[in-house]
Amino acid sequence: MKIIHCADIHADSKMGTHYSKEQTEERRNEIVDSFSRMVEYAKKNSIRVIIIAGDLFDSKETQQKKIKQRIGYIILQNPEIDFLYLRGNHDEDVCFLTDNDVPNLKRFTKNKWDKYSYENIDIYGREFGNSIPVSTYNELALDSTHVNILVMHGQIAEYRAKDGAPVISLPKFANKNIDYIALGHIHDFKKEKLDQRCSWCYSGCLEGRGFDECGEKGFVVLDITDNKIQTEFVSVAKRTIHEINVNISGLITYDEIMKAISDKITDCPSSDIIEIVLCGEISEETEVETESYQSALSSSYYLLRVKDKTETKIDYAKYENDVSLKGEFIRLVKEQQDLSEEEKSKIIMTGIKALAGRLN
Amino acid sequence: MELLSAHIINFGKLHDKVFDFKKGINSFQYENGWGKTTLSVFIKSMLYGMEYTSSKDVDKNEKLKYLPWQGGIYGGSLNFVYKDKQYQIKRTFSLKKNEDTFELIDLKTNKQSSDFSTDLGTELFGINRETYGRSVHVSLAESPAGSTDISAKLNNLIEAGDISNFDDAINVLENKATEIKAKRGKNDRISFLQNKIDSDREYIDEINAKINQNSEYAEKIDSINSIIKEQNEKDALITQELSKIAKYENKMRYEQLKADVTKYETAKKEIIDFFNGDIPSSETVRNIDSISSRLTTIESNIANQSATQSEIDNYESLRSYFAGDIPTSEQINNCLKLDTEYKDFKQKENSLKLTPDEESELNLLKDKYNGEEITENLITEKINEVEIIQSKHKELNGLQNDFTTKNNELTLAKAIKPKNTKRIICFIISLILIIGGAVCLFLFNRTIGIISFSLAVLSLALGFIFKTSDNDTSAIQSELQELKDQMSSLQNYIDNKENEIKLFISKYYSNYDSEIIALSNIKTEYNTFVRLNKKNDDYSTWISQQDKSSAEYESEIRMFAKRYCKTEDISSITNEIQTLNDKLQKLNSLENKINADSDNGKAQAEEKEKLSKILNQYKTNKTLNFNEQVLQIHDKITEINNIDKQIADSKQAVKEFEEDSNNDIASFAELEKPEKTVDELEKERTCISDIITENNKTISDYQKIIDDNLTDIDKKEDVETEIERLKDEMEQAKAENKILVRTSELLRLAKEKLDANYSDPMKNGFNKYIEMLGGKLNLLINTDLEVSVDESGQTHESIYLSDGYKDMVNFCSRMALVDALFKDVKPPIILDDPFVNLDDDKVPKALKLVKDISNENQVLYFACHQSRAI
Repeated sequence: MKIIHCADIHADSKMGTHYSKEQTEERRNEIVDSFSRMVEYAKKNSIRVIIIAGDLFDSKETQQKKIKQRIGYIILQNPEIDFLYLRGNHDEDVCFLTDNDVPNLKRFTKNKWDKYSYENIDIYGREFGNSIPVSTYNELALDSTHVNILVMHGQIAEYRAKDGAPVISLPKFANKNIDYIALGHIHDFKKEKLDQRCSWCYSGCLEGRGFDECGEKGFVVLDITDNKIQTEFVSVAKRTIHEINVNISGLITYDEIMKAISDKITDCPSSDIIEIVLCGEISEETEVETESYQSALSSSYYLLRVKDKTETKIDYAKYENDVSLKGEFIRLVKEQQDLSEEEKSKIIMTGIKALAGRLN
Repeated sequence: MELLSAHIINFGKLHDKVFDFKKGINSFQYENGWGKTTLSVFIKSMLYGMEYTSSKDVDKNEKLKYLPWQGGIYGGSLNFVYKDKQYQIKRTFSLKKNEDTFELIDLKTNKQSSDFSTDLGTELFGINRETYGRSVHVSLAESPAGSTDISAKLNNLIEAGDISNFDDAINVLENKATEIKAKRGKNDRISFLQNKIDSDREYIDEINAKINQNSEYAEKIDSINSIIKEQNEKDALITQELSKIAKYENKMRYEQLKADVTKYETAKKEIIDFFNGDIPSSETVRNIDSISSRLTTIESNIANQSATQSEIDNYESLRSYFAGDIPTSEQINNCLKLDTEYKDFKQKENSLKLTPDEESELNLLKDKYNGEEITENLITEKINEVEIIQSKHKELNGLQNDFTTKNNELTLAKAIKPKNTKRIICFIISLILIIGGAVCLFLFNRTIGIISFSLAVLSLALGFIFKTSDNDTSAIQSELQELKDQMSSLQNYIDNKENEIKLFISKYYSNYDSEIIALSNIKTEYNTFVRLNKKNDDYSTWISQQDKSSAEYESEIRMFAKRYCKTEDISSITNEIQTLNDKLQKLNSLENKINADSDNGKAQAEEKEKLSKILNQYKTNKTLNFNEQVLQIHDKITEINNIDKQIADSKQAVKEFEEDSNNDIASFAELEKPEKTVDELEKERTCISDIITENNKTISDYQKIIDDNLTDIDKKEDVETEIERLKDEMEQAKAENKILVRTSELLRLAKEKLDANYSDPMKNGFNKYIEMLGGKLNLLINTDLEVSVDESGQTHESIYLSDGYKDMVNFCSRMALVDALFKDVKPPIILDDPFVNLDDDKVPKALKLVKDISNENQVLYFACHQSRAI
C-alpha cells in the first residue's frame, strides 16, 4: 500500500512583503495547485491515503473561503483517497468541511489517539494544544505485527520553540513498535532514524512562501510492502525559493559584480524566486548598484531581489594626505561624531558615486 | 628633501640605468620616447610604492603599465637626503598582491632604517601618491596641446577631476533627496508612500468596519437563530399537540367503530321489529310496488288530467261556437288547397297582365304604329343612311376644298410668267464682252477690244430675239371640271337622301333637331309597341286556358270562411283555417279529458284499498302517504339487506383497528379531548412557518452581506502586509534621504575647505609666477581658478590664449600648486619639456624662472631641444 505524508500546506497564508498584491494572490493559488498536483500524483500512483500532518490552513473557516472551497473540492472529487487531516497550531480551531458529509475526510481529535486502519497498517494521530501531556507517550498500545504510523504536529526538541506549537519529545516514542512518525511544523524535509524500526520525518511544505523556506519542497511517499516502509521525497513545488550569497570582495566594477551574480543564478529556472545577498568586504571604489542589478535581472525570474549585505571598509588612512575633493570629503565624513560607522560608509559611498556620476 | 641618485634595475623600458642628482637644477636633454615619464614614475614609485589592483586596464594598473619590457627584477633603488640624513630606498614590485618588497637603508650605517615606512612619500610630504603625481610632475601631457580648458585643468590639479563633477554631483544629490522628500509640496516619494499607507489604512478601517458589521450581523443571526429555534420548539409542541389530536381522533375513531357495530346491530333489530318479525319477500315487495305504481299513475292522472273549470268553460264555449256544424278535415284541406291555387292564379295573372301604365302606353303606340308598314330593320336602315349622308357631306367638302385649291393654282399659273433663260444668258455674255472689250481696247489691243464689242452687240441682239412663252393651264382646267362634276353628283345624292329621310321621320316624329336622334326615338317607340302588344296577347291566351276565374276562386273560399271562420275576409284565409283547426283540436281534447276523470276516480279507490291492506302488516308511518310508506318499506328492505354486511364490516374494522400495532388502545383511556383543533394548530403552525421563513430570509440577507464583506476581510492581511512593506520602504527612503542630504552638505563643506586651503594660495602663487615670467598679457585668476585675460579693460576667457601662453599658465599654476601643497618639505619637481610651445622670446625668462625655482626646490628639467635646454 502507498501513503502520502504531507504537511504545512498553509493554503490561505498571508505572504511576505516581498510579493506584490497580485503575486500574493497568485502564490496562494499556486499552493493550492501544488496540493492538486499532489493529489493527481496520488491518483496516478494508486495512493490510498494522504496524511496531512497539520497546518493545512492559516486562517479561520470564514476567511479565504475560495481557497478552502478549492481544497474541499479537490478532496471531494477524489473519494477513493482517504485524507487524514490533523490540525496544527495554525489551523487548530478551523472547522473545515464539518457541515458537509465527506466520507473520505477523516479527522483526528485532541483528547485521545484516533486510529485509522488499512489492512495491517494502523495510522494514529492526535492533535495537541501548545504542549503534550507526558502521559501521552505511554497511552499507545500498538500491535507489533502491524505497520504503525504516528501523525503529529509540533517541533522536536532540537528546534527552538516557536508559534505555540507543542514540543515533541521523540525519544519517548522510541522502541514502541512505531514504524514511521509523520510530522508537521518544520517546513523543510528532514528524515532520521529514531530506533531500529522507526524513522521520523518532516515532509516540509509543498511550496515555499518566504526566503526562510528555500530549496526543494514537496511530500513524502511511503511505499509499504511486507511490513517495510520505503520512503521517497517527491518535489512538487511550482517555484523554488533560492537565497544566494554572492561574495563580491575584491570586485570593483559594475560589470564584475554583475557577472559574479549572473554566474550564481545561471542554473535557476526563470519560474523561481531568488534573493541575491551581496556580501563580503567592499571599498569605497566598488560600484555596488543594487537597484540596477535588480532591474537588469528581475524580468528573467518570477521574483528577484538583491540585498546588499556587504561591509564597506574604507581605508581612511589612504585619504589622510589626499589633496582632492574626494579626500577632503572622506576626511570630513570621518570627523563627524553624530554618524555611525555604517552611516559614514554610506555617505562616503554616496558621495563618491555622485562625484563619479554613478548616482543617476 | 633632495634626491641623490636613482638606480633602475628594470622599470618599464628602462633597464640598468643610474642617475645622479644634484642640488638645484638637474638638466637632461633627451629625445622624445626616451623614458622621461618612466623615470618620474619610478621616482614616485620609490617614494610611494606601487598600488595593487586586479584591473587589467593598463591605464588603471601602473604596475602592469611599467612592467619591465625585458623582464627581470622589477624595481630599483633611490638615494635621497632628508634633514641631513641620507637614505636608500630599495623596492621591488610584483603583479601579485603583497609581494612587493621595501627596504630603507641608512646610508651612514648601511643598516636598515625604520625612520620611514613603506608609505615614505606620504610621511615625507604629507600628501598621497595621487596628489604627488598631480603636482610635482609637470609633463608634456599636461601641456595645452593636450588640454582643452586651462581653468578645468587648474582645478583638476587640486581636485583630481572631481570638481567638474562637483556641481553635477550636488545637483544629483539634491534632486534625489528632493525626489524622496520635497522641500515644498507633496510631490515626493515619501508623500506618495504615505498616501498609499493612508489609503491602505482607510481600507483597513473599512475592513474593520466590515468585520464589526460581520460580528454584528453574526450576533443578529445568532439572535434570529434563537428566535427560529424558539419557533421550532413551538412547532415541535404543535407537532406533539397534533399527535395527541391524531391519537385522540384515533380513539374517537375506535369508539366510532365500536359504535357503528352497535348502531348496525340496533338498526337490524329495529328493522325486524318494523316488519313485525316478518320481512317481506321480493314478491311481496314487487306487488307493493306494482300497486303503488298504479295508484301513483292514477293519482297523477287525476292530478294532471282532470279538466279545470276554465277548461270546462272553454269546452262549452267551443261547442256553442261550432253549434254542431263542425267541418271535417277533408273540408278544411280542400279549402286550403283552393286558397293555394287561388294564390298561384293571382301571381301568374299579375306577371302576365299589363300594368295600367303599360296599357295606356300601348294604346298611344297603337295609334302611331298599328297597321303601319314599319319594321325595326327599316328604321335601322334609315339610321345608316343618315350616317352615309354625313360621310357624303364630308366627301363633298373635300371635293370643294380640292376645287378651291385647283382654282387658285390656275389663277396663279395664269398670273406668273415663266423665266426666259436663253435671254438671260445672252445678256450676261454681252456684259462680259463689253467689259473685256473695254479693257483690251484701252490697255492691250485695240483690235481685240473692237471684236469684243462687236460680239457683245451680237449677243445682246440674240437675247431680245428669244421670247418668253405662256404657261400651259389645260390640265388644271380639266381637273377643275372633273371636280365640279363630282361635286354636283354628290350633292344630288345627298339632297335626295335627305328628303327621303325627312319624309320617313315626319310620319312618326315632329320637332326634332337631329335625324339620328329622331330615328333612334322612333326605333325605341316601335320596339316598345311590339313588346307590349305581345305581352297583351300572351295574357289573353293564358286567361282563356284557365279552369276558373279569379272571382270563382274567391267565391268558393269566401263561402267556407263565412260558414266556419265567421268572416268574409279571405285575405288571410290560411291563418283563419289554422285558428279553426286549433279550435277543433281543443274541443276534442277537452272532451276527452272530461270523460277520463270519472274513470280515474274509481280506479284510485280500488288501488288504495289493496295497498292499505298490505301496509297495515308493517309498522310504516301511517301519517305518511302511500308512496312514502312504500318508500319506507323499500328503505327498510335495503337497510336489512345491507345491515349484516355493515355489521360484519364494522366488526372487522374494529378488529383491524385493535390488531394494528400503531394503535395504542390501552392509552386511549387517558386521552382527553385536545383544547385546540387541528385547524387552530395548523394556523399557528403557518404563523410559525412564516416567522421562520421571514427570519431565514433575514439570515440569508445578513449572510450575503457577511459573505460580501469577507471578500474584503480576506484581503486585510494582505493589506496589512502591504502597509508594512510601504512603511519599510518609507523608512528606507527616509534613511536614504538623510544620507543624501548629509552627503550633499558634507560635499559642499569639503569643497569649501579645499578652496580655502588650496585655491586661494594657488591663486596668489599663480599671480606671483606670472609676474615673474613677465609677459604682455594681464592674466587674472579668480577663486574658482578660472583664468582670464584682461586686455584694454575687457576680460576674455582663457580659451582665447595662444598655446604659448597656455604653457605659461600651466607652468605657473603647477608651481603655485607646489607652493600651496608642500609647505614644509619641498619635493623635487620634475619638469618634462614644459615650454615646448612658448614663444622663443619668452623662453629665456621661463628658463630663468626655472633656475629661480631651483633655488628653493630640486628640479629635474627635461628638454628635447637645445633651444629649451638649461
